[in-house]
Amino acid sequence: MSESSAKHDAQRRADRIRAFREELAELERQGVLTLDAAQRVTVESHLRQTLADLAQRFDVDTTASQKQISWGMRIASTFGGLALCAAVVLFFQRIWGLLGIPAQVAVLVATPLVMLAATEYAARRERTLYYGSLLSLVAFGAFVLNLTVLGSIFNLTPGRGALLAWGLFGLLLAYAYGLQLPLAAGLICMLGYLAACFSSWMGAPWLSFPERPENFFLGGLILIAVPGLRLQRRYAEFDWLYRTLGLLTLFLAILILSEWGAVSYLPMRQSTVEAIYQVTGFAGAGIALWIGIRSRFAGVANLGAVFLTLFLYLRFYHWWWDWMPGYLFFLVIGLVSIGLLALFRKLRGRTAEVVRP
Amino acid sequence: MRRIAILLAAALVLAADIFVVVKAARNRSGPPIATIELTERELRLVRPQRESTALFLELAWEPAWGRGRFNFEDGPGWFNQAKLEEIGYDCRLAPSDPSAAAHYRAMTAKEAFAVLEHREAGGAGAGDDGSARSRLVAVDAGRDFAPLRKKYPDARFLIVPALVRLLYTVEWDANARRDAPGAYLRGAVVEMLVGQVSVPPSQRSVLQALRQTTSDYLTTPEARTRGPRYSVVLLYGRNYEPWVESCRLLTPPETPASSPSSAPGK
Repeated sequence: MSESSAKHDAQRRADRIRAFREELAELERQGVLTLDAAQRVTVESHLRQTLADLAQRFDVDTTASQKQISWGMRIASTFGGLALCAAVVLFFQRIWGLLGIPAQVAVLVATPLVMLAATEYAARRERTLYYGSLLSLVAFGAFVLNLTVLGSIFNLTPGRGALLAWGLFGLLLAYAYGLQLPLAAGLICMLGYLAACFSSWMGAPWLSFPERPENFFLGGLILIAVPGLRLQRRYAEFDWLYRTLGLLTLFLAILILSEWGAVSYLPMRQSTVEAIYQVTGFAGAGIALWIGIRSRFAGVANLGAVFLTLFLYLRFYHWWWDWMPGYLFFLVIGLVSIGLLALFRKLRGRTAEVVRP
Repeated sequence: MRRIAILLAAALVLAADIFVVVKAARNRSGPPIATIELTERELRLVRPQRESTALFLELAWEPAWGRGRFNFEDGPGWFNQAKLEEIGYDCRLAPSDPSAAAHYRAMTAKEAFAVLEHREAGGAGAGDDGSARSRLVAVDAGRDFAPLRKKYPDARFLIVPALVRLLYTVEWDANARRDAPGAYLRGAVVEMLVGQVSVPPSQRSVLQALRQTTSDYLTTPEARTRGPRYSVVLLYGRNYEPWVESCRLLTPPETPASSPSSAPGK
């Protein structure tokens, strides 16, 4: 198990202990269970010792308020990282004209390397990795700046290899420290690279890859498949990000194609292509919802539900908006929403744990 | 594991940078494949951001993209259906087919070499023939460089990698100034693969004195009388990538504004 996975598990255990304490207090208050003094001391001492061990080894949050503050720190770390990226880019723009080409190249090469060293330094000094996460984001931004500006200085033809380099850099940072922000950045670059490759294979310039949503299918499917790989099991805390990003990519591509079939590679009439992707969208969203509920992947189930609703409402719009009076259209939408609520409520009831007397 | 990943990340940065520098050096090794002197009309001064100290020159050519469309009123011209098919577009669906508009408008751009002819107006300044218009005019396109160079050996023809696009164009009634029945296919050079050229530090002092970018300058009355403010010698290397060899400021015409034809050309 990787260090970040172990930390993830430690935090889950600390959360369980906190919940156990609260439930125990409630049971005692209701008179359902009363521990004698000796048992209370033994349990409390064990829990305290376990939490102390977890806090010492992994720096986990042991109280609710600590957890809330940690969320705040995560948000601050993300915004701080993005702001520092912007600062690095704008500072370089500011001094660009004052430097000769060798100095420009030296600054551009040194910045991501220095930021890498800073990330490593921060990670050694702080196990929670808030500063490490912030600095890793700056390192990633500095590498993006590095290749973009070097290309501009030497007037090079843009190449898709830059997306691959940025993607690999983000993945290396993410797996080295167990950080999700560089992982997300790296995966987005990899999605772009795969789409650009697919675009080239289909005979279009790689720069046109955003114009054809089908270019993103391969990358989306690969991302969804990654959590199933044996190698990935050590990094189970990343699985949700792979699934969410992969599914989001697929559903967005299908949504665009279901509305505008002309941008498809399929050699069919536009209306046929749109019909195919409408059916695919409904089926895909339904399957995602079912798998999400069955496998307890909350993100997958939520995405499935959101896109199922979106596909449904878009159909209603196309079928009825032009001829139906506005009030009636929104009345139907409201009634359908109530129907969906009842359906989701039923699904929720089925997934609830069966309580036997 | 962590140490290996960090070392690999550092190695990736260095490898990518070495690749870029070697690619740039390769482009500039040996004699340039093209040398051309252009003025501000064709190479427009831009700054990427308000606070930026970097300077770039943006290649401008005709026919230019403006107000969301190309201003074609003359039919397909040289970039007709046959040329589109030569570049690799499948144009089998008749433009009159009901599904043709959606079919062709969804087609992506293609990479090709564009031939730009530098049409110098004999001694004319900027104020005479539509002032701001670039005198680089797209006159041909093809998939390979060598046949085009053979066809256009003269130095006034610049052959550069570009993105071309098929345009499904509704017929235009020039007299009535409105769309006419019928449609046809034509192509257009929409983007240069290297459309912006950075001004190297050695030449920056020449252009730095100019306070306005070209787009700001062209809106001033001075632009009509004075014409372009600078000229640039541009070289293209073996990877068809350009760089600035030299820049010089052009002397403003001494004659009054009423006779702009005496303004210096390139």
